[in-house]
Amino acid sequence: MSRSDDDLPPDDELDRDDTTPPPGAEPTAAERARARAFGDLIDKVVAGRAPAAMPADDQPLVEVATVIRAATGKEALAPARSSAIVEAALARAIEGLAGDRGRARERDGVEPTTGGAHHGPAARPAQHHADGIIPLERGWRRRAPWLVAGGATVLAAAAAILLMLRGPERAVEAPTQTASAERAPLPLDQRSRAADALIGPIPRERSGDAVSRIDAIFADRLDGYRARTLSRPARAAPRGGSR
Amino acid sequence: MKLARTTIIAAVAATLAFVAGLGVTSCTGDDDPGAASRRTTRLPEPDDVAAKTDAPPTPIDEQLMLALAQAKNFHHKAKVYMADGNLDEAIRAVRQILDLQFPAGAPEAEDVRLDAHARLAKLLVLQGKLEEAMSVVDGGLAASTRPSFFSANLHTVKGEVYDAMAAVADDGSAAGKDKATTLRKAAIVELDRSIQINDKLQRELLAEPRE
Repeated sequence: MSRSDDDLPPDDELDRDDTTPPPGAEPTAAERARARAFGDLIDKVVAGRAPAAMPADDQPLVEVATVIRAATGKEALAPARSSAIVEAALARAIEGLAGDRGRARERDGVEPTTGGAHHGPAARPAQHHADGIIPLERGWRRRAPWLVAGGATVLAAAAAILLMLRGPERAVEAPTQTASAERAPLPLDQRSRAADALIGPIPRERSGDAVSRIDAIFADRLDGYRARTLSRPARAAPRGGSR
Repeated sequence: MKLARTTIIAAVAATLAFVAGLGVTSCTGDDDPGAASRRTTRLPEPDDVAAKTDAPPTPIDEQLMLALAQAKNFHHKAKVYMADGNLDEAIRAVRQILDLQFPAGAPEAEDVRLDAHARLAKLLVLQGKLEEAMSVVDGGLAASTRPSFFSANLHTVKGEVYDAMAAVADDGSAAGKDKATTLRKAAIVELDRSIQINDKLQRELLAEPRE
């Protein structure tokens, strides 16, 4: 299919300039007006007052002009603005990386690693050292078992030390209680003692009457034994105490 | 999974440490310095009586009552044998009293044994076994550790044994009369010793509060 010249779109303005004006040629009024407008646009962009819209042809020119101006050191951002820009860029990078890994774990169903979702297992450690970024969520989950184990061990050691320290105290208290029990006055009739006071002098005519004497001794000691055992708590009474 | 396994291991370690602590404390809290001396299988030692002087009062316990009850039964058994005229069995019953196991350091043990020695000596005298009776008396006095009415009674019995020996020795001859005189003097010495012990003990008892 053939097309006539009238069907073609109009040529670009630059394409229409078949001849490049010579370097020493005087600019036309139109060129001057256009250069002035472009200079105003550059000034506004550098000053942070970029227009909401600009011609598509002017945008690359503006960016190039901005880079050239910044490279020459003629434009420097305020420190606060520089810090804000850097922090915002880092935050976007971290969030984007963590989001990518989370989505990769969900998709792969594998244990989280330091590498990105697009890396293989062998490449993950290298990626970890390369980016040096460890999500806080992953660091906590890795340390949690050791924190629990360490805490439980410390508690167990503290309990053991406490019990060992309390052991000697109890050992000291036991003799004290025994001594206090021994210090309690034991009635005379409940003590094991000589029978002289009970029997008295033995007349010669009764020197062989040991039966009556042993009966008296047994009866007296039995009274004391019963008084002692019956005055104690029931659990302390010996078995078969009544004879 | 790894988190759960590590947590379980930590919990087990803590439990083991806790149990070990309980074991250590339970082992260290069982020291009783007086447990060895309270063993029922412990035999009386010679130092028990001396140690008894400074020892705290010993309560009347089951072992003492058991020994006293057995001594009482043997004495009654001997009494029955004597009523039946069986001196040999009576002597055997009284000898069993000397073998009874009393609590270590119990003052009643010495009193009961001295009384058994006295009765045994008198039974042997009735049998005419004077030398054996004297041996029994001497054995009882040698085992005595303190003056008592029972030791005084044993001196009295010893005097009776000497008197019996004198009666046997006095056969009418001059030598027999001399030997009898010597034995009677010995009997008087033993009786005087018995009186001295009784007097001393009575004074001490009068100075002390009565039971």
